[in-house]
Amino acid sequence: MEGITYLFLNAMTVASILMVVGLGLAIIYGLMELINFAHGEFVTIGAYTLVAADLLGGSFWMALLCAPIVGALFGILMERVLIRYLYDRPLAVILATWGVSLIIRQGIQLTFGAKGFGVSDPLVGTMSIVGVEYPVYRLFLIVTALSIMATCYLIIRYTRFGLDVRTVIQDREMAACMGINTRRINLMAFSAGSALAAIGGVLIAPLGNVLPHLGLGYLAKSFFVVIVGGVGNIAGVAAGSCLIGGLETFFNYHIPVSLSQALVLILAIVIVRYRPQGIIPK
Amino acid sequence: MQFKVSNLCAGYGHVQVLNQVALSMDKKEILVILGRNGMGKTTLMRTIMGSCNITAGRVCIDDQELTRLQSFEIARAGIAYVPQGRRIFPKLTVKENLIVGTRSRVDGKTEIPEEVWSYFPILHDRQGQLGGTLSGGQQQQLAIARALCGNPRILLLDEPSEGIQPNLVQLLGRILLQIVKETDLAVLLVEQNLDLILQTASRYLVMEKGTILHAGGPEELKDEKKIGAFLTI
Repeated sequence: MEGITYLFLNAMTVASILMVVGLGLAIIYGLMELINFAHGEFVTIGAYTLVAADLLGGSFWMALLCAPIVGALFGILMERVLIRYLYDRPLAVILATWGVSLIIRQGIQLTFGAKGFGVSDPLVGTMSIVGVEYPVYRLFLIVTALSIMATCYLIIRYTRFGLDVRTVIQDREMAACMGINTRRINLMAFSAGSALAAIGGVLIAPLGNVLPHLGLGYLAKSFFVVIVGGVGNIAGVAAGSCLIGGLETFFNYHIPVSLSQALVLILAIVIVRYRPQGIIPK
Repeated sequence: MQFKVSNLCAGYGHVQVLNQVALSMDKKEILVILGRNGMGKTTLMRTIMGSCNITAGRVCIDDQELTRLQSFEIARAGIAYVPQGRRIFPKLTVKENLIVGTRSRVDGKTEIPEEVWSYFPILHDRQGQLGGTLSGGQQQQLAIARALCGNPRILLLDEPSEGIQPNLVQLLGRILLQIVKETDLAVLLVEQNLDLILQTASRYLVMEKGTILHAGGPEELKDEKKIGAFLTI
C-alpha cells in the first residue's frame, strides 16, 4: 500500500511539471498553430533564473516571482524579432525556433559554464500525507502546479482576454473581422506560454542538477502531453500530463530509464493512432 | 455617411479576381449584388474586410481610407461582416458570440445592445446555449446579431438565405428592413434568393467575371423577370 502511495505521489510530481510546461506549449501550439522548438529552452531559462538568484544571494521565492517575467520578456523578444515575420510559414518557424534553441543553450553555457548547478531545497523536510512521509517541496510543487492550472482555466473561461483567445482558436479570420487584434493576442499568448515554461524551470531546478540542456528533454515530453491530451484545451493538457507522467514514473520503477521513455513514446503513438484528436478533443 | 469602393483590383496571391470594381452606398440603403457563382461576389466582401490582396484601388468610409488596414481595424471603422456559411463560433455560447461582436465598438462597451435582443428574441431565450447547437436559421440570426453588436455603419451580408426555410428568409427580410428604417445602417447584400432581393433591395449591381456590368434602381427592381434573369444567366 505504501509503495502505491509513493508511486502515485511521484507520478503526480512528474505530471505537475509536465502540466505547467505543457500548458505553455498548448497555448502556443493550440492558439497560434506554431511548433516552437525553443519551448524547452524557456524551461532552462527559468531554471537558470533560480541559479542566478542563488549566486546573487537571492531566494527561491524571488526566483519563482522573477522567472515568469524573464520568460515572458524573452518570449516577447522572440515573437517581435522573429516569429511575427513567419506566421504564414510554419515550416520556417520550426527551423527558426530550433536555431533559437541552439543559441539560447550555447548562450547559457557561455554565461554559466557547462557544469551543473545544484540548487538547495527551498522547503526542507518531509510531511506525513495519507500514511507516508513525503518531501514537503514535492507536495508544494504539486499544489503550485494545480493552482496554476486552475488559474489559467479561470482566466480562459471568465476574462475578456480568455474569451478573445477562445474566439481566435476557433476561427482566426472571423475573430479579426469581429475587431479582435489577433496579432496582439498572438504576442500575449506567446509570452504567457514562455512564462509558464519558465515557471516550470524554477520548479524543476531543486529536484536535480541544473544543466544548459535541461529543457531539451521537456520539449519532446510536452509535445507528447499536448498531442496525446488533445490540442486546444486545458483539460487535455491535464489528462495528457497525468498519462505521460504516470506511465513514465510507473515504468521507471521496473525498467531502465531509456527503455521506459521508449515505451512511453510507443504508447503515445498507439494512443494517437486510435484517438488522433487526443484524449479530450477540442 | 458614404461608403465608397473605387477601381478595386484584388485577389488571392497572384490570382486576380476583382477587376476595377466600383460602388458607393449611402446610409439606409440596401444594395444588392447579383451574379452567378464564381463571379467574385464573396471575394469583394472578403477584400473589403481586408482578407485579400489588394493590387489597386481604394475602399473608403467618409474620408477614412480602409484600403491597407488590417481586418480588426476595418471592423473597428464600422464595417461588419456576415460571411457565407455564417461562421459563428460553435464552441462559444450565444451570449459569448454576441459579446465578441462588441469587440469592434470604439466606445469599448461590452454590453449587448437592447435592440439586438428585440430584433432576434429567439437568441435571448437561447443565450446560454453553445452556438454550434443552434439550427441553421438560428445560427444565421446569431451571425447577423453578432455583426450588429458592434454598432456598425455598413453591414456586409453574404447569402443570408442559404440553407434556410422560406418563412425564415421572409422574417430575415422584414428584420433587415426594420433595422435600416430604425438606424442609419447601410447593407451590402449578396443574394441569389429572388424573393429576398425583391423584398429588401433599394438598388442592385450585377457582377460578372470580377467586374460590375450593370446597375439598376427601384424601377428595374419591379421587373421580376429581368432580375431573375441576372441570377440564372
